[in-house]
Amino acid sequence: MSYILSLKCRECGREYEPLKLAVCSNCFAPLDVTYDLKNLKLRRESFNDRERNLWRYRELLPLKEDKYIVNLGAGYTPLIKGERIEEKLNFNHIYIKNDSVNPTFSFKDRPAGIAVSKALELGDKVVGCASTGNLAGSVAAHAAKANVPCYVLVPFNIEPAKISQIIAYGARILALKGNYDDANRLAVLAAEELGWNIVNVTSRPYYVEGSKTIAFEVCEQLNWELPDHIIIPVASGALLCSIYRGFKQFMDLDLVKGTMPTLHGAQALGCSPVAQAFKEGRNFIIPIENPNTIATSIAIGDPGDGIYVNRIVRETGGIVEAISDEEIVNSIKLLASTEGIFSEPAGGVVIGTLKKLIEEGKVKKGERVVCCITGNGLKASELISEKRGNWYVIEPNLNSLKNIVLGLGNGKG
Amino acid sequence: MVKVKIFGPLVQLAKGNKEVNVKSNKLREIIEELSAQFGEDFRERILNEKDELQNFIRVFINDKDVRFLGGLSAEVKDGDVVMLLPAIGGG
Repeated sequence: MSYILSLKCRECGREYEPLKLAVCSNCFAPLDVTYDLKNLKLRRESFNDRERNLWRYRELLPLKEDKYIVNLGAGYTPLIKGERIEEKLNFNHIYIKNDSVNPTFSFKDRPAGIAVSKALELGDKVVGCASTGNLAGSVAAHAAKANVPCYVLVPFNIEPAKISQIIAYGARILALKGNYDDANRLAVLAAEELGWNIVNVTSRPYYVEGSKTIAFEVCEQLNWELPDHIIIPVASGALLCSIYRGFKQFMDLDLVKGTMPTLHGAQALGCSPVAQAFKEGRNFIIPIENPNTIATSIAIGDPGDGIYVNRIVRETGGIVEAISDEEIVNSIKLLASTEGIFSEPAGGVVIGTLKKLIEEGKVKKGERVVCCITGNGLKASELISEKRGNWYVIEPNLNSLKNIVLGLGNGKG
Repeated sequence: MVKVKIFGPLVQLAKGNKEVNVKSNKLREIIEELSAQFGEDFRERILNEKDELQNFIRVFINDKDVRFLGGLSAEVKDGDVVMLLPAIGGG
């Protein structure tokens, strides 16, 4: 069972019954789910025999009744010690939280799993989302499993692999001649006019709860210890805020001891409103009208949780960095060629930030750094094509093969 | 005549109106006109202490965010549609 208590306004503190409510009716600020942590007796051993997916944290998820759970087996993804990338970067204790192996190949299965389940509990008949592609795939998959109609609003130029995936799940794609922020605005209007449950709009307070399970898992996988640093890609900022809440809840429950990890945000230079505000010491975000980056999955020009990201990052002593497209590609290749993990550009942004943190001495040897890899490279494979090297066309004979390989220097086994 | 469409919890602030016609041709004047109609509470919750749009309010003129049109100084023409929404994060 869940220990959900209320929805609480992040600004004015007003509390509401945990019903269908997207923002505070008083000041219109975001709402957070609260739980009855005082009466929740969880011990480390409580998790011993539980299923290895995000529903193992059932008490800390906002669904009242189990019968509405839509479970694709998301979560409990590997936390890999990055020994090869440590060697390359001359640093120790790098961990890769590999969320690219979730059922629909991104971390979005966490929030979508919670939100589609919650939509069913709230009695909604149609689900949908505004998305840059990953969430759309995930909501579509969960809607398929739940057997409810699904409409996704996405910019028309999202990657072909993401479109194929959504079509296969049977959702209807509304491809906008616009960017993510247009999709988000239209989703707000559609939810109101058509009564859809747009999971990242209508159910946003519940939706964002799913991602905190990353923090829970990292603690468990580090043998019930907190990492020193965690690097998180920032689009709307919901993920970083959610991971922060996850660590806090485990600390409040005494499941882990120590101090809050330092949270670092990672953005793409071509869409970095949060990083800009961080660097300029602003407590407000200036939105970006036309995001321009290969990291389309995190290209949100008007990030709803941007101010909260900067609040958390400053509080925990972290940074928010902006990474160029060229550096994103280099970082994708670095991670893939050392750890065998092929990430989409959002992961390149994270590894690019890791490199900067090491170069600038902002992480110290001996400290444990977790890198959140949130989406699979096959969803944006166009970026690492034959044009980027290591591609040789040969005749189908051994001579042709040897001519190339022996010329490369390391081809002899 | 300019049409103002109101969404979500803002409808309550506008005394239940989802659509209002206004005569002003500057966004700031439109907010004043609506405040005169719906009361001081409307103005206080739409604007902050600096008399600018509050953080969690989004205003669009013909589907374009007014922060890209000069904010409250944005001009509005006859036939334009202004939308008032709560800022819902998405992501």
